[in-house]
Amino acid sequence: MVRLLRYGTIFGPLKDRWRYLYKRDLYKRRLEAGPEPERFRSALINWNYDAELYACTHRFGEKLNIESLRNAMTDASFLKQIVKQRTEAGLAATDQTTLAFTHNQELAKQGKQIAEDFLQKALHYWYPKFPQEGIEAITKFLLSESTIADISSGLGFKTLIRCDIPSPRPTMLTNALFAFIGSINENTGRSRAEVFVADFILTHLVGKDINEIWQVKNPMGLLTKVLEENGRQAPESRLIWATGVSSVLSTYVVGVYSNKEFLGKSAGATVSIAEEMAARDALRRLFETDEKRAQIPFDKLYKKGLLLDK
Amino acid sequence: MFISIGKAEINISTTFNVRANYPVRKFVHDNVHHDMEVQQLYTKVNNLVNDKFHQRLFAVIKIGDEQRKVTTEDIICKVDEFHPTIGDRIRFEKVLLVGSSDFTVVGRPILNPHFVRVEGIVIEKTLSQTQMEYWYAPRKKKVGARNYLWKDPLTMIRITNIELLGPIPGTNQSSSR
Amino acid sequence: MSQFLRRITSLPIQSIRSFHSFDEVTPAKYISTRLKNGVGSRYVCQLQRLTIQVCKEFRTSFGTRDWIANDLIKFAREHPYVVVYVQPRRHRAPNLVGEYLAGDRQWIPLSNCDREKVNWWIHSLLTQKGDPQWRLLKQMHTDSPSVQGIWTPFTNKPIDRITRTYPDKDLTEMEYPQITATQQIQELFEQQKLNKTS
Repeated sequence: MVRLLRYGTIFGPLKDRWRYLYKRDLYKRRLEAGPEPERFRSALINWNYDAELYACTHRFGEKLNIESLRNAMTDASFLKQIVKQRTEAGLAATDQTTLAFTHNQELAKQGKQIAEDFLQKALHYWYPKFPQEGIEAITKFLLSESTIADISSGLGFKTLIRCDIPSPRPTMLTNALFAFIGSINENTGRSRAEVFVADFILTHLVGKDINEIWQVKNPMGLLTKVLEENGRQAPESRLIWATGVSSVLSTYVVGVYSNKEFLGKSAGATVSIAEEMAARDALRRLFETDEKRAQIPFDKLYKKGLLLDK
Repeated sequence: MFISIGKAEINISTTFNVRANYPVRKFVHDNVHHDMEVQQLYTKVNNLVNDKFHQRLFAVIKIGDEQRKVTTEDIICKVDEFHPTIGDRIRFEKVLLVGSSDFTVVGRPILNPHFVRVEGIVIEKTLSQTQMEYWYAPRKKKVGARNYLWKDPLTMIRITNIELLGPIPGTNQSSSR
Repeated sequence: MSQFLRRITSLPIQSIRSFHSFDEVTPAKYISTRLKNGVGSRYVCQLQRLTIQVCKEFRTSFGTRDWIANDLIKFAREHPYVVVYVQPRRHRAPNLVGEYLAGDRQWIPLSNCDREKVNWWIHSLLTQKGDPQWRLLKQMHTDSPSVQGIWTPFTNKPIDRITRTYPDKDLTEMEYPQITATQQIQELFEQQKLNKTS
């Protein structure tokens, strides 16, 4: 490969002895000084919080009152800090009523309730045969702290949240996102908040297998239970194919049948593994959560009036 | 039919007359059973269109000079300049094939736009990594060695929707194309 | 095609404004998006805030000054979701800093760029996701690679193969749909014989 530019061409080649020594000393001093302390984004000169909030409302196309958004973005720790600062300064304003804003705990509760209800409703609608246990597991995964904090930081709330540390903790991020949903509900109505949940929380399922999110430990036991409930006979597993039995790369294909009716089949390195995977495949086919199944139509959940008639 | 080339006149119709003596080959035989089977297939596919919980569809679309196989929620990258900006929704008119796990419909060469709709949204327009081409010609005058550096503009498009709009064109349920 | 023309005409290439070392290998990645952008009913522009650092006096920031005077208000009106900060700095080169929703940051020097180039670069930052330079390993990304099922040696295999006892006579015997070449030659030879005799 041809070298286009030599290193150090911007400041001249480092052939002068004095320049080299100077640079080395600077480098050593920088190392001794250690890493820079974390700063708030608001500490920099290019920062206008009102403009940021205004842009935030336009970003998601929501018509929000700036004051309510400011409340949604205020963490409880921020208020505590202010009260502490005031008491240290000798002011008597310990009580929250004198402050112009409140923290987002109430809004977050409201938002979380909306999200939970909507997610359960939407999943029930699109996967009607999937058991309640599984749907609860998926909603739990979607509303878990790590998932919601990831979504919240991806929506740029990291710099907008007002809290007592420069990089907000996951709990603060989750509260902020739920409070944002709550403030949409207060400003423009519940349906708009639900559309927001569909667009940003439900879409987290893209590229994920919902059968793996709900971990079934004994698939064969679940299969017999489901078949019993539907009034069908117990499942029987049969070996369909086997190759390389005495080799390292042995493969067995096992099918699961109920009253000579095909339920599912799968391959595995041993018979027991193949049987378990076949049971999982049968469950997938019974619940209609196959790979072949269409993904949730995130943008059309309301357009077609799908959820409204339920 | 006559074609004049310069002064000479060539009669082409004679050559056609010779061909006309052979019996005309029939490519499609009238087969009642065959037609019945085809109709059953058509009705099967047409019933899938009305199914609310339809299965995942895939399609082969043409962008520029390339053909891409896509399903919903795919991202495809288009190299070189592309006019739409971020947030623009695009409908792909040239759909060569559409299918699901149970059926495949192939166009000749493209499918009717009233039958299938494939939509996408432009999510990102970036530049590629710096690429280089090295040119070395010492014998030529004023050339020597040259380095060309460039970055390709890239456009990321996400497929949002693949939809069957109605029955297969040409079947009993609709008027033919 | 445009790349080819650009190489032949050797015009100044506007897309390269930063030092790139060819000694190091460019990191390679697959296509990814932040938060499955574009799947739902709305699209979210990833650029959060834009800072234009500009000098009021130096010639190097003439185009940037031009853009601020003529296009800034129109840009801000069209894209209300981007916070634009203009930061005057005395006797220094003009810069463009874009900060993105995911926390990424892009920096572009604008020295000696005219108004059109400045506009081009600002829109380039606007349409990006904000991650650093990378090489595409694949020009597509999919979560469901095969809709009709992945092929295995067992797909469409006739089921009666397992019930047979091997070696099986039906499977070992070859079936010739037509007469073989040797048979054809033999027939021709015999016809020739008949012709000669008659």
